[in-house]
Amino acid sequence: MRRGRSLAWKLSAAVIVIVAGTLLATVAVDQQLIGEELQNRGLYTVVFVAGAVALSVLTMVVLIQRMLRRPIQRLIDGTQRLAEGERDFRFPGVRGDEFGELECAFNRMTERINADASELSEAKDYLEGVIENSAAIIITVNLDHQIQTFNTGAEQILGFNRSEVIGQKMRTLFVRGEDRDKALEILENQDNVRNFETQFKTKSGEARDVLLTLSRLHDREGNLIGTFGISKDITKEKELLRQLVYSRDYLEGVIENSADIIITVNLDHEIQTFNTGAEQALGFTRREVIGQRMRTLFVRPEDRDEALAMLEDENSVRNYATQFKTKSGAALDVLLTLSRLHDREGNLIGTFGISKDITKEKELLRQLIQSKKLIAIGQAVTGINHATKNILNALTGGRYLVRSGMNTGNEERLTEGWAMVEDGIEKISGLSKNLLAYARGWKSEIEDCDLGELVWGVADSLVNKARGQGIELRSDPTNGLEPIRCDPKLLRTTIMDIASNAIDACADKDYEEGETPFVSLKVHPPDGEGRVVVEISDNGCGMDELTVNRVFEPFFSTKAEGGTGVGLAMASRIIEEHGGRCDVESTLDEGSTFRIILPGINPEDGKESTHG
Amino acid sequence: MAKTVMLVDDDPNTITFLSAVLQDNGYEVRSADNGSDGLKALKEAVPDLLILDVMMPKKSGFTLFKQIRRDEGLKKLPVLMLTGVAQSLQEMDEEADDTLQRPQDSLREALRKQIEQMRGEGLIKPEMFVDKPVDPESLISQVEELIGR
Repeated sequence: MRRGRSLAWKLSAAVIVIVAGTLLATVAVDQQLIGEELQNRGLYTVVFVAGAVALSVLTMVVLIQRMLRRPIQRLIDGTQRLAEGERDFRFPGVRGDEFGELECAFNRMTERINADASELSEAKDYLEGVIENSAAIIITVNLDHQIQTFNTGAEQILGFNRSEVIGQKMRTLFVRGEDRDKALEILENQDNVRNFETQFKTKSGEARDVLLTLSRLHDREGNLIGTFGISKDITKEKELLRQLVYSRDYLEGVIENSADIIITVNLDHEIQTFNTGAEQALGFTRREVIGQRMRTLFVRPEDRDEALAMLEDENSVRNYATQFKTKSGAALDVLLTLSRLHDREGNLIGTFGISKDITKEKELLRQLIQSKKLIAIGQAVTGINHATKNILNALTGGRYLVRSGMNTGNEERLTEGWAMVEDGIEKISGLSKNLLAYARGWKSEIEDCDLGELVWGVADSLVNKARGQGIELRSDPTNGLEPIRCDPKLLRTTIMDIASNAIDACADKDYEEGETPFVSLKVHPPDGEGRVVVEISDNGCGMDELTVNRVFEPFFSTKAEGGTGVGLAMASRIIEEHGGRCDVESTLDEGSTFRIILPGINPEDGKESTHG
Repeated sequence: MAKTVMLVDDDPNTITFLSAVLQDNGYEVRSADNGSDGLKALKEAVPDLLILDVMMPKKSGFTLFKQIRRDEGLKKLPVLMLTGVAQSLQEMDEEADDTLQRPQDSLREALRKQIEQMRGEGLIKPEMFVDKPVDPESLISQVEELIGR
């Protein structure tokens, strides 16, 4: 900064000049007076001194005007402009005196104030932004309880426009107005309110759960001017919590009210949970068993060890068949499903077991097997009955002819009759053999088998028999089938029997001109449930309803000569042993279709079993 | 003039047996060993009585019976049906409520259904059945009852 001569120096210099000038003038006047007559001496002196004084005063005034009043006025003006907010105003600050320094100081002060002000305004903008953009509901209320600030968060959550609520009573926003009174009371006592749980009303009348934090609002001077409230919308959280509680209650209810036996066990193998289903099925009250060893509930405690070992290996145990002991000592057949139990942190805390009481199912199954056996016996008995009646008829006929031949001496009759008797005897021995064959059963040898190949083989070995009778054997090789588990020899015989019957059915029919007799063998690839179907169809003589109903009956034969009546009955049994079934559709004079439906994977997987 | 009886049965022994019984009682006998041939023969010359085996290969006696009843010329032809189950069907009717006690018998059930249906249509009467093995005397008395001597 330029440093000029000071004002005091300037004034001192001016006073010295004036005083010196006045003195010089006075001396000069005195000398002139001495040299001249004393004529008009007093007048001159007065005039001269007065003039000098006037000049001095004038000079002083000019100097004061120039050096003091103007800069002061300029300072006053400048300060005024600053006070009026003209923050860009600056003093020239070119003077070298104290006024110059004062101006420079003023300028520095102005800049400082400007800097502070902009900092303040930034801070204010920031705070306003925070309030405005907060996702929370921010509302300020004056001492008359009227809403003063209502931020965007509040608008969004509560649905009101700020213009609608500013000036309104705060109480009206509360679902329960008394909640506000309570919050204010707490504020009164504790200076602030933190996370006061209440509900605000939205414009559409819904309630929003909020956590309200309330503090007092003061002005710059520290006077209370209202309250400042931040509320967090916790509707979603509350809903989640409600759902959680509901889920927990629901699960507890499910466990408690389940008809199944639900038992949880801790790491010490002690029973922890024992639901009503368990109480009812086993007869124990939970008080009697909680804390007891789980093992004691098993009829064979080693079953529990085995189930736990399975759980170890396979992570879960499904439908493990075992027996529980009831309080009365009876054994209860159950299917046990076991899984591990973890706490929130994922630590293993025990096992969770659901057991289904299958005593009734087992009994039903036993009855079913029994009734199936009865059906099988019934069918066999019926078959034998029909077969013997036919033979008996031949024998009765033979006896009649023989007797009348003998009585009348008719030798022809005698011969015919005797032939019938012999035929009957032959048929009886045949039936006896068939009975044995049917009852003997067989040993299945299950292995992987390509059904397409098997059927192709059957077709191949029958093609000549068919051709010999003018019948077309239609079969396309089926490749790429997944192998199925079956006894290929038995299955081959079965398909062969049915296909042979189909050829016979064609041979029995009188075809119209242009009609080609055919037998078709097809393998349909697995359906949605993995079943494969072997279809054997023909356009032969077909069967009527009554005959269709009997085709699988043992000892039933439609063939006058050579039919054993065992083939299809056996075929049907073999297919059933493979977990499949055989369907037949037939229309008289139009043909028949046999469908052997086999499961893709044999349920008796890998097991060899003897049937009979 | 002798009355004519037509026999339709797939079993040659039955044909021989019944032919002898009927002829011995003064009836003229014709025969066929299957339903189709039987129908043809019936149309060629209508007999006085038809004795029909129920269980025949492919086409059961019932099928032929229905065809006859639909045929204008054969509609009124008296029919006797040979079956191994006539007796048991009768028993079954008597024990209708006793179904659970009886072993399952698909044939009897099937026959019963057929017969009930045909009874419903007024086509069939219980006395139309002749049980196998055939008793010559009762056969002749049934035949005489239907068409006389």
